[in-house]
Amino acid sequence: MGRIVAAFGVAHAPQILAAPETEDQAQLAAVHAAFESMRQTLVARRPEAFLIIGNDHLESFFLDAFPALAVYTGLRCEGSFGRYTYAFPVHEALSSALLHEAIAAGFDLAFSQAAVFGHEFLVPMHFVLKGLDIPVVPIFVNGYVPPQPLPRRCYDFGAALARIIERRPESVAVMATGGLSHYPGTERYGNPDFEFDRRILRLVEGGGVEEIVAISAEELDAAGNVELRSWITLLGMIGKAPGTVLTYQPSWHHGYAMVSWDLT
Amino acid sequence: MDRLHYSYPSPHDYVFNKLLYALRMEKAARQRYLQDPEGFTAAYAIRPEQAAALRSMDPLKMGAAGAHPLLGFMAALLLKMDTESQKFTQY
Repeated sequence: MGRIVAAFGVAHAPQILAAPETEDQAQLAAVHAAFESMRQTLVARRPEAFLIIGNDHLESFFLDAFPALAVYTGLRCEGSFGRYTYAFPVHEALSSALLHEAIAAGFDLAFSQAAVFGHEFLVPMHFVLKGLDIPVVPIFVNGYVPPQPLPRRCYDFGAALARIIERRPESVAVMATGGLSHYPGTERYGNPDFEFDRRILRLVEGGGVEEIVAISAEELDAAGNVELRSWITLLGMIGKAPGTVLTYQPSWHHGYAMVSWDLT
Repeated sequence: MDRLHYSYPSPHDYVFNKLLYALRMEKAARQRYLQDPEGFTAAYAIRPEQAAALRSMDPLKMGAAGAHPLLGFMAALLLKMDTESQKFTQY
């Protein structure tokens, strides 16, 4: 029977991989160490699929059609970042099953078989899938282009995905990529809301899922946490399991949060 | 806060966002823009204040003129990277 064997919430800022001089390198090293710890968890648990939930930054999709919720069902998850080019294999059977069965369960997903992937997927996968051959299943939850799905809907969607995985044969690791507070392209870019982040992390550690799900779309935007929808979707998959904060690094533009849930 | 940081993109700003999307996604488009900004922009029916914001390459001004914040931000950053250095600065 399908089982979720590991769950992670991570930051994905381009600076984590590009490591420019603008960054505090000790902070980046702490984030890298957390990614390596997650990679070691994958090595130990040997999941058969790696499901990653992210928010498109207007790269995979544009205003010709912008999905609220989507699953990628192409053969390879491809994209480039700086000098790196990636082509991760997709777990086609699982991604296709999630599409069909989520629709059957009342979640009207969009799908893509040719989306280009951006740093929100590629940066975390660069670190945690290094040297591993685990096929991926990318899920898109709209974070940046209002009107986005409500936090409650994201949570329910995650719960529906978990129910489908329970009926599947594969063991699955899940990752939410996003957050925490940052405001790219806006006047608040240099002023993240670290207090909001610390509240979220306290709730994550205490299994305070209901309070997180009750946060409004306006509050998420105000706190620079539109991407938290990825994490909320993941919480829907794993319920009230308490998370462990591997590191939280407040940088000049971003609250880098790295969380692991022990589901064993 | 009265206004969202990320708000619904108005269809009246679609063409401006499409221009920025081209700059964000295509290196060849950025090269054409850098060689001939006026010629590149002429292919898009954008408003004068949007053209002025584009010339400034200031993400906040582009946002005020209707750009999605991520598109103005990334177009400006990638143009800067293409012209100044291979290093990521203020990403």
